[in-house]
Amino acid sequence: MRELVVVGRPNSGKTLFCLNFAEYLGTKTVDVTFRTFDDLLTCRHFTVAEARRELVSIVQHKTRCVQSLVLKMPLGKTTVNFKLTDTCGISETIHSSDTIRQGMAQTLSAVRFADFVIHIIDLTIVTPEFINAPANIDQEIYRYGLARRNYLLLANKIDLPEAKNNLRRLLSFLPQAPLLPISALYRKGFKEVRKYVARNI
Amino acid sequence: MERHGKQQQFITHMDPHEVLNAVAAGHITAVSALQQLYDLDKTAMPPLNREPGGDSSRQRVEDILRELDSLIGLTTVKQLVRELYAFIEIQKRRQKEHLRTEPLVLHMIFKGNPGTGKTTVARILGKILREMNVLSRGHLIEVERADLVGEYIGHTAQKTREQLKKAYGGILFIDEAYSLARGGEKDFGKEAIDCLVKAMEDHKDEFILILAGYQKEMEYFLQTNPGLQSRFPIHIDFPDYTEQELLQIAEQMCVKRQYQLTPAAKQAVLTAIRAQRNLGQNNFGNARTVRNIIEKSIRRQAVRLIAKNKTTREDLMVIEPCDILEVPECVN
Repeated sequence: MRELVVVGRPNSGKTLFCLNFAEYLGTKTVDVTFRTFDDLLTCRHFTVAEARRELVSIVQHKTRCVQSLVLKMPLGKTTVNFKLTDTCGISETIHSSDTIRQGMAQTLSAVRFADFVIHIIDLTIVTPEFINAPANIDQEIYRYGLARRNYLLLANKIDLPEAKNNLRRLLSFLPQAPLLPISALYRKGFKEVRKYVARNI
Repeated sequence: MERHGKQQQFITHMDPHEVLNAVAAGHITAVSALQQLYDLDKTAMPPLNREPGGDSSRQRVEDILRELDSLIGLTTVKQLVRELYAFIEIQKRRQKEHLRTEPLVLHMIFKGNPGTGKTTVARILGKILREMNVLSRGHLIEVERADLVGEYIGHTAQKTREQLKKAYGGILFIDEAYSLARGGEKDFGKEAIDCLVKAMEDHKDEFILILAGYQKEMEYFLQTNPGLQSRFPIHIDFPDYTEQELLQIAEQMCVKRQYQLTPAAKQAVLTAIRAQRNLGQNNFGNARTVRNIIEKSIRRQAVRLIAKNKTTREDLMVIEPCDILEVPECVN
């Protein structure tokens, strides 16, 4: 079973994307497997709506460990199972909380072993300052993913008014990546993501 | 982790695990960790080959096709399987280019006498289709009339559906399928056929139905149910083996079991095959009869050897004509 890892900054919409994408693929209930830094596994059964209520928040760093879902996708005469892994958001700073730092380490390790990396960027933060910043985590994920040739960039929050301009900026900033604009909240662009994922599982 | 000081931020780690631990301990930022991982993994971990149905899967299909090629005779069948493989592959590539594709209806009819390799080929097909991601499991469920037809009204559909459920993700192989239509108007076999036809349409993406049986009976069966013919786009004929092919099969079976046939023993096998063939035209089991001959001779060889106190390695492997020639007598 292939593992797709969703990475990005805190609050870029990773968890919401995972859950809404699962729902888009026809899943009504999800079994979320949480894996903490010290490899403790817990599995919880949610309906998608419950999971959204419990796991998604507008506060940063809601997700603090690796959370995996097993999803099905019909391909030809078969359905293929794949694992969609949601991770703790990573940023440039060293966080003061232990758990979050450990979560970030987990994220990096998940990226290393992923069959496929889905990188989510929040379009609202793609300002000129963002691009000129000396250390940029998104640029590093991009560089790493491209080198491994298993990379897809999702530009999230396309529904917001300033997103259109920022999308153009992002395109010139990270030119080589396959980029799909989406709205995780309103489920826009999921059809293209589905196609892309289907080709890679 | 305590070993890393504050200055660790500027030291490159040699091991990816150390990098991750340093992130967890708060010694370095995720940015510099990714930079270091990039350098470390660039050499250590090769870029992933994401091509679905890429080299490795094609290699596996080739391996299975080679297994098919190692079967003796069956030239037309082999050709057809290769055709099928090419067809599916090209349909997939066309789909990638957004060209129009033919729907993959792969229900089949196998016609041939018993022991001509129908089940073997069906098994290999299952494996190939699994590797090509056409079937999710690629297993073979082999059933006959008795597994499908029930005892009272309504029981048949229940039983048939049960078998179908087992077959989803693989192949449902119905041996002697013509017997489903044999009993006349009131027979429950009709009900089974109706149930199968419905499943073929409703679950056409989940399984492949193969009907197998003798040539003449199958043709009669298809004539009595005009709807069936068109629902099975692929018909494969399994011709009887020639004597030479049967002899080759016997040799192959011996090699697989690590036995050897002496030239005289080969002649004896031929005689035994002829004798069996003359016994009854229709009941002749082709390759299955050959297997029985060989297995029986292996047992006879064991009886012959057990009398000896000492046996060499060669003794244990060689099958003599006297082991074989007695076979037809035993049958009678």
